Amino acid sequence: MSANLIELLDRVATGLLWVQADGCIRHSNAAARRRTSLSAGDVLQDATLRRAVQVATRARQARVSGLALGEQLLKCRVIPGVADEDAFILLVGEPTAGEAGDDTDRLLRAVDQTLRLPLRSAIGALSLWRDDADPHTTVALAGALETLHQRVERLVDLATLWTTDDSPDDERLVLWTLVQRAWADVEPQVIDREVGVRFRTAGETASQATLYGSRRWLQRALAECLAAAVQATPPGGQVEIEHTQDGTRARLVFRQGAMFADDADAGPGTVALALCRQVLALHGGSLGPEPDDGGVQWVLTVPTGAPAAAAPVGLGIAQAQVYARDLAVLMARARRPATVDSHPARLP
Amino acid sequence: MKRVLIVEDQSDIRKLIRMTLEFEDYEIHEAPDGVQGLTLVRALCPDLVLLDVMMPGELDGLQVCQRIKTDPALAHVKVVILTARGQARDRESGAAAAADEYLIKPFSPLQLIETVDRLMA
Repeated sequence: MSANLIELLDRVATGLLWVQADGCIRHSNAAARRRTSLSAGDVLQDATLRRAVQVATRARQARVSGLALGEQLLKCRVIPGVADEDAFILLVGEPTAGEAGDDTDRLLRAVDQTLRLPLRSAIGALSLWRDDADPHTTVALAGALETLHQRVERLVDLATLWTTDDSPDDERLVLWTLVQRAWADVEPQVIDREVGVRFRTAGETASQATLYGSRRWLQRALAECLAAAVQATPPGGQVEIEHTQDGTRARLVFRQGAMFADDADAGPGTVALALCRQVLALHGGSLGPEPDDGGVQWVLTVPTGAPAAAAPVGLGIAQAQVYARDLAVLMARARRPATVDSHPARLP
Repeated sequence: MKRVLIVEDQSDIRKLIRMTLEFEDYEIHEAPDGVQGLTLVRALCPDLVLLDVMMPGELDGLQVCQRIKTDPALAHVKVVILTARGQARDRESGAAAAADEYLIKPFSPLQLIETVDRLMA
């Protein structure tokens, strides 16, 4: 086996198995060994996954499948391998099953606590309202339903992002303009809480930082962060955001340590935080708390100039074809002066 | 000898552009991102800059182009944008940044040489 190929396979962080058509494993990288306990020489026992491997090897078609490990089902993508009789199984999802389980569990609890139970209460209130139409109850009910509607929309957006494998759009966006638009999105909340904003940016370059991605989703993630920052700021207080350039990434620091604080208790912030993280992950960015002078600050990072490539992009086939098409003319051009130099007497 | 600077983050594409331009007599320099590209423009004062648009870092190609075109000391420098972004709004952005030419990837080496020759004639 080529050492270069093995090095390449070992770089698949979520886990990769290189298997033969008969299910025998040729190579299992470190992440795959950790997640599945399968090593080179073992044979796949999962019948569904073996069928997917056979389809990949015989029909040269990719398949989405699963690998059953006890009660857990690991999502996999099976793709044709380097030869006719082998395939690659890419393990999909978070690197550690435990972490993924915790996140999912917290999200489900958040759905239960912030959607299902409030919806049941609203239905109860509605049945009371039918019997005794009170204006105060009506206003409270309308507010509660509006909040629930927003939470459902977040959840639907999150589900949409989870199910997409596509790269986001690559619109050219100026970060500062995007922040201003996101701030306008949360303006009703800002007015309601009477908070101000102090936005600091370091230098001219940072203030002109450009991103490439989806305007809709990045603006949405920024608005969710700003909304959380406004919510974490006392009425009459000030939201503080600092923007710096850190190498190839823009870094937005939110000084409001209490942002998304209810995530730990599976509160309404859980879905908003998951949505922001998913949007940013699709753009090569991140969002998380960092220690700051004994407190906590939230740091959002996103690549500037161009999205961070998962792997070096080689010369495209289309470019190689165009080059090959023009090569003969270029070679003829290159030969012409040489002929003139070496055989001047033959010139017409 | 005329001096050309290639600013492109993908090394394979940089190499291809260099190979293409080496069919002509140019002094060729390279930079892998916008910041280093702009530094080299100021240091070398090339006759022409071939600029990719989407490059990781603080400055993308359009920002580099804007800075070249707004610097009186670099007024003579011609800029050719060479990018995979071929939509009308992208071309408009290139024009707004005052680029002299806008070529789309995959680029034709012949068209590239003709463009470079024409701009430096």
